[in-house]
Amino acid sequence: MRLPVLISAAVLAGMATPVLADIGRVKLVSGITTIERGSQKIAATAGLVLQKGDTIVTGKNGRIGITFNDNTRFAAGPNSRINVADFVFDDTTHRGRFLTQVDRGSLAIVSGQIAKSNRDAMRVKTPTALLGVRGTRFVVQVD
Amino acid sequence: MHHRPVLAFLLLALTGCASTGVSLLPGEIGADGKQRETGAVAVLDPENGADMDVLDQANSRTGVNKRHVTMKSVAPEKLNARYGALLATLPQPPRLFILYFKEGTAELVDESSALLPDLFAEVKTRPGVDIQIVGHTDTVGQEADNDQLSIKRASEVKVMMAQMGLDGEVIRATGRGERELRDQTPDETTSALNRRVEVYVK
Repeated sequence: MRLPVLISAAVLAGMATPVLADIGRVKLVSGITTIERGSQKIAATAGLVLQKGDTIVTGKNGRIGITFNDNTRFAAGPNSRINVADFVFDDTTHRGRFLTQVDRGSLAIVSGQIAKSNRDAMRVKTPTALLGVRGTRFVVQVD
Repeated sequence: MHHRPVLAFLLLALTGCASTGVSLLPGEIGADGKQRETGAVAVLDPENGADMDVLDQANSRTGVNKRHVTMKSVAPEKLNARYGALLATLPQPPRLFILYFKEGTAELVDESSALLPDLFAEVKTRPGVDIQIVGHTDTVGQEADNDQLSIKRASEVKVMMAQMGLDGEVIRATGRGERELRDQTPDETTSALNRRVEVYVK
């Protein structure tokens, strides 16, 4: 129901149709930080648009800050490997789901609207734990 | 007592040396200077999603190894020393501007026009900026119609902002209909406070 509305609004606005796969944007980068998307490896820069399924990989001095469409914010520290396995967000109802897999490294999270919409709609998985995010600011470290 | 190292070793061996630490911090200080509430992070049973433990005290930490959860409090200074650089990498929270319109027009009221220079300045200070424009309606009319109306209003503001020189590529126009009232009116109530567009500079 919502898709035609979005598209007609975009056409009405005379703008490019929004790419629905966009889930967030890189805001800060330092050191070597790469986004792996399928077989592609993209050097992360401020403004880079993230897609569902992207893997964030930081080198030994790498750090990256990301803001997602639901206002969730991430900061990943050095030597991290973090996959945004699932991200679905309805701007109108604020319902969605968000699953992040932290394979290694550190991830600071300030949760946003998805975590507020439904209990445990936002989850973080690590090799040894499954976490349900109920707000707001925390750090996950995988050694 | 001397069994503990053996147990820890066994756990490490079983889990391929990985271990997970979760540290819960106090809520952020908002733009209004107020501290946000501390939330919670639940350690879930991977089999059925049930709570195994819930971390809900600020400045506490838990280690998780499969079904083995250990919780303890940590001095804030210790958390800062360990995670200060990481937390400094968090992007700034989005900044909110609320715009109101003259009734029945796409023209901003004077107080809202006066916010625009500040809004444009904020856009310039943020690396990798994107902007979300969120339309809101009052409670007059059907919810579904208000959803469309709110998106339409947001799209109009997007056009306006693009004409004023912002890059349309980084602007997302969305609508919340009558779900997020600033003035908690009953249904079918006109409200100038509720008919608004929020601009989040991210």
